[in-house]
Amino acid sequence: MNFKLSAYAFILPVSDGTEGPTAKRVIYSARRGMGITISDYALQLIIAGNYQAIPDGLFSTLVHYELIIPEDEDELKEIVRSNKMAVTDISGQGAGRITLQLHIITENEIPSAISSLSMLEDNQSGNDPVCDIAIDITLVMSGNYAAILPVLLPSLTALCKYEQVNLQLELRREEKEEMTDYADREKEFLQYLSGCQLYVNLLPAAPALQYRTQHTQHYYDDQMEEALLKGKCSCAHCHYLPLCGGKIDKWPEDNSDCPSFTRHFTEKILLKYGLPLTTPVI
Amino acid sequence: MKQPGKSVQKKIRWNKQQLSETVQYIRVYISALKQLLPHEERQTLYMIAKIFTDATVEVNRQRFHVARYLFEKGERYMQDIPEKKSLLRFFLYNVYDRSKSLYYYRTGDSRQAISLISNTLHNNRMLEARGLSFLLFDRISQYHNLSKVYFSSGERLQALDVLSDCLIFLMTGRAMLLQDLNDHHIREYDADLTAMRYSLMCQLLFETTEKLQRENNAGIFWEQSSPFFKQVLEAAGRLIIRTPVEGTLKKWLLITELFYSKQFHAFSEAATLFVAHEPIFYQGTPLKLLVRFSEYSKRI
Repeated sequence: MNFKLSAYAFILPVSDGTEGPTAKRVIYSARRGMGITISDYALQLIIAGNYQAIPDGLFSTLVHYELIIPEDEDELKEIVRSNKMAVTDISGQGAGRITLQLHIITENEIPSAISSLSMLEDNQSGNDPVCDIAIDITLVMSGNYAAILPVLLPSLTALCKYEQVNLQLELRREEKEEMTDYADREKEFLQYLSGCQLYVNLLPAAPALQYRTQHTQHYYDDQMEEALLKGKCSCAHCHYLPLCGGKIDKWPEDNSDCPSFTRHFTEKILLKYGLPLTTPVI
Repeated sequence: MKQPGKSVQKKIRWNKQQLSETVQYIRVYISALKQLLPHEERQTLYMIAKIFTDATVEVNRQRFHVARYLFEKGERYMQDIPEKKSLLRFFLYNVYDRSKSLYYYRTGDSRQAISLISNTLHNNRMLEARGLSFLLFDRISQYHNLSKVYFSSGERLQALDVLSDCLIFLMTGRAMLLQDLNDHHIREYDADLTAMRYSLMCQLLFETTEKLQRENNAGIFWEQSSPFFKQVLEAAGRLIIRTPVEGTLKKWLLITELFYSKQFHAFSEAATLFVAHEPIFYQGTPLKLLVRFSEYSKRI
């Protein structure tokens, strides 16, 4: 059986002072939303396709993360088809996720946010936790995050110990704010989180079973399957697709209608794994 | 907040979730693979086994369309493995039959589930003879799965007979009913095998007790559980203790014996002492089960 490196693998260096074959590298799979840290030596083996030289433990982990896949696999087809199957299953099961979006614009909104988070925590730690239901919490922060985040930290830390909780932090884009200004502010926000050792996950969970239109989201259907597989939608060629789901009416001219996680994507990976953000990423 | 690597470690356990879920098992399994299969074949095994294990995860999440999709994908790759690579095929079928039998069990097709469990039992014996003697524990794990199929088809007595005989074998080294277990290649118990045996004993004993204790009526519970415990407790006297945790397990069994010999006062005293002084083992389940036995003892 022959293998190949997934087209949805992101490779980034880690600036921890080491260089040469032992230098650390992160290899992140957008198909699974998971990554690992490996040596540059191992990375070069993977890039060169020298799979025979990779030890068993590392190889099976890379396979599990879908970073190494069968050579004949059509990845786009695989992602779209398995998503469609999953949608068929969950449509018969009813709700499989709890989604909570908290907008914290001023410090006055902190108590109600803590109350909502505590309620979820009680539910998880009680006798009858919602074990099999994924809980997505999105905190939309104002520019005043340095005052707000430390207060929320205990509740967030308590919730994050549960595997099924997926916490997202977003910086609110101000009205009429230019995208470039917002991107700069977001970068500062990431630096702030890293400086406080708040290693939150700002990336979505994979696989994304939904795709977006201009105003709404839909579960994967025949229309989206055709748009992607026949290349009618530019998202078919995008490496973020497994995490994003795609947008059927994607603007062809620019990426400003892409989801926020795609900005500073590599920094967000480093933040997720508690790695320094200090050098430019490749 | 999330510790880097935490979820990584957890996910690595994926490939043996349906077996005696121990670190030792995975380590011994990979070490044996390295001795028997060339590197290229091991990598093929990891890749195809991953597909079936993903299918198992989907079955457990009741996402049967995705599971079927993954099974079909893995089956296509299996078809491409040449007949002459017989050992690789044995290993692949070991994973496939186990995963697919779970699928049939969960979708209510007991006949197919039992058929694939039988295949795995046969397959394991072949692999054991090729030097993987520890797969005996996987065989017992398959009998555990078989008992689940029996339970689901209403064949409670048959299920309990299988479970009690597996436990008797694990405790004494001799099965009464499942004669094929007596045919194995383990000559000596090292630390890994001892840990696997202990893990499996606990799993079979406590899962079965929990299942039986779902019955609220003390009289019915007594009726249904007595034949199972009578056989198991008789063998417990012959359980050779190799580690301190096995000593704790044996104490638990001896206290349970007081319950089944209707010495309820002595049982209550011993259970109270056990709960107060013995270390928590098997995530505290045995202690909870003793408390439940105590509640029954007041209503019999």
